[in-house]
Amino acid sequence: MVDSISGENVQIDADAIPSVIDITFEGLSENFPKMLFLLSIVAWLALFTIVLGVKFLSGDLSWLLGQWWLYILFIAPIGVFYWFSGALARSKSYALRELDIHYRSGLIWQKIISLPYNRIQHVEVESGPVERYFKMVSLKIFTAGGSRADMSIPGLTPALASKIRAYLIEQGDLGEAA
Amino acid sequence: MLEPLPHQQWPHKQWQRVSPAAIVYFIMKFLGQFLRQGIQGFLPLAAIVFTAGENRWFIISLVLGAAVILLILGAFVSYLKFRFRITDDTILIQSGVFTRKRLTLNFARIQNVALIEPLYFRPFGLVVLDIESAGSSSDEVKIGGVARPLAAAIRATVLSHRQSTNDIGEELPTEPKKEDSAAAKNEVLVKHPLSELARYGLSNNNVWVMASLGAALISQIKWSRYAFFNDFKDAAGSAIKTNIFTAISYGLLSLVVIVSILLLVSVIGAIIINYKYQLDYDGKRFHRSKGLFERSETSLLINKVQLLTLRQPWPARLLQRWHLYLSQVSFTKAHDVKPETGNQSFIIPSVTAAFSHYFSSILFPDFDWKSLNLKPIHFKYVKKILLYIFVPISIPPTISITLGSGSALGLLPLLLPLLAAPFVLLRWKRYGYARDGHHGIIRSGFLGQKLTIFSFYKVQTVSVVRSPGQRRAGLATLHIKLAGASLTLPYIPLGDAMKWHDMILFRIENSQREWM
Repeated sequence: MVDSISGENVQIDADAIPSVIDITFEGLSENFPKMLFLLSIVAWLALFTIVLGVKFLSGDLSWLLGQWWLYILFIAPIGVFYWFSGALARSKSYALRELDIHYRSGLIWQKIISLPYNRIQHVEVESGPVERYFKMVSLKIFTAGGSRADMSIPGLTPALASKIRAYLIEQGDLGEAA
Repeated sequence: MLEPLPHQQWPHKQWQRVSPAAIVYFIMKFLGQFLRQGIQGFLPLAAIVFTAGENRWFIISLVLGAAVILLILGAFVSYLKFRFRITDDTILIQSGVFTRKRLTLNFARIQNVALIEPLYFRPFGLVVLDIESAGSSSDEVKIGGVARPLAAAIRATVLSHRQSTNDIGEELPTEPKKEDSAAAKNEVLVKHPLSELARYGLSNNNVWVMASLGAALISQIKWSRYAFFNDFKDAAGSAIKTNIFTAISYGLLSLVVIVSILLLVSVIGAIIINYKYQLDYDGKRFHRSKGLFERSETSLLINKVQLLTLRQPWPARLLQRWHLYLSQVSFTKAHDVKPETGNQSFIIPSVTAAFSHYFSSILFPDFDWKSLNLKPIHFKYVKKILLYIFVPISIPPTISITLGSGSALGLLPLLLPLLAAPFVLLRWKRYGYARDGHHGIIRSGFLGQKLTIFSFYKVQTVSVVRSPGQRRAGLATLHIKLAGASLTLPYIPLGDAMKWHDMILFRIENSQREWM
């Protein structure tokens, strides 16, 4: 007979198991909200340009450009973006314990995902052009089954990310495989 | 037959070719590839057919003849260029005509080895060796045209190699002893007669899924273009006018006929795929053989099973049968569970509830889930689904129809949430969950039901999500990801979600055992 799937069977007091609730999470880089803010302004500008462009192609633009409320309409949301970028950045945080890594995210749907080191298949450090400008990288952690990263922590400084990566590889006993 | 070959006795340590009959295998493979992705290559040919005029048959036969010659030539060269070699712990494969491919598969990375016996190989006593490895899906390897005894020996060696590297602590069997495998108990778990396969055909959902796809396709066709349809419509129209009862009974009759045909197709399909289905268990692995035209033999190490799903679609409820699905690691798409295609899910069709329990006790000896009371999820689930999914869906048509027609009839779509309510209630009622310290069971479903059973230590990641409404009500949605499946438990008390979360992490982190 194979050893039972559950193996050793010592009684465990469920309340004695360390809980995820007690973890202190750490915030992302202070550049992260700045990046979000910049990206949202760029996206807003792009949207505005498209609307104006369509208007320009379909007729006269000068009347619209002469209206004062157009400028209010453009500037007003920027305050909201500023607040939103800050709030979104604050909602994302991570924590490392002795045996697992946790990532919290989401303003409306708040999510905590936990990933034990001994299930890590490989770890990637990625950075897009905008991230590089802000001197940040994303850390992506993969487990078995599934093609996408199971956990993706953005807004880390390159030094910190490579430190975490090295730690994960060491803990996950991945050796050169990662 | 499952005797591992002592390494010293490997008949071929040199590069070797498969049997010449494998040319047929390559032809079939090319044809299959062509049908799957290259069919549009026939478009120029079609153009010729329509434009060539007098010479068309000559040109077509010329093109087809060239294609056939090319196919046979290609298969022949592929056969010449395909070589494999087996060393003490690796399989090496060379293939490819224009771009050479060299592949090295370490035994330790091989997940499973299946023997498939296509109809055209049967007279030669050859099989296709289907090797699944832990890597990307492109690493999947098939060696077509291997003599059955050699294939069986390769499989046994690979599997025993894995086993011996997995069982740390046991002395490594450098030379497998004959008594060992003879003494190993071999229990026949399932042996399906035709009647049971017919039952599976009647009670699996595949045919209904196919039928609904077919219906969707049929509805896309503009039937009014076809004369026979208009004739039929006229005839049906006049029949309804003259004798409504005859018309209705004809309608019902044709419905019965269509359903019967579908069921018949399903039964025949089930019999072809699962002909002489037999499942054995030798204490370490399951061994399955099945198939009418293409016999397949698959072994599955018990440790590889990630989770067990007991499914009972609604027709199976009537027949009092369950279908068991064993999920293995899937490396391509985690959510894609294709029934009966590929080796990802290992299905044990049409078994009784008693056998389901027994089978579960083989995989999870300490988990007596029958004695557990499944907890229901919170009723807010129903409210949320209706309010946030069905009400928003019903509003746009209401507005557009009411504005468009101006009549009160436009308010009818607002009844949608009411109509959906009983179904959502049904789904809510099906949900149930329970755990002990090491395992979890989740029940879900709708008309049928599905029980998912898994060991905590095999989980990959676990997460808890809370919407604003859930935060107010102290509820949470728990997501559990295993290699091969993602499980969701919506609207359970936050306390339960966190307990599951913490307990699952605790078990993963304190388990030294191979999960794969």
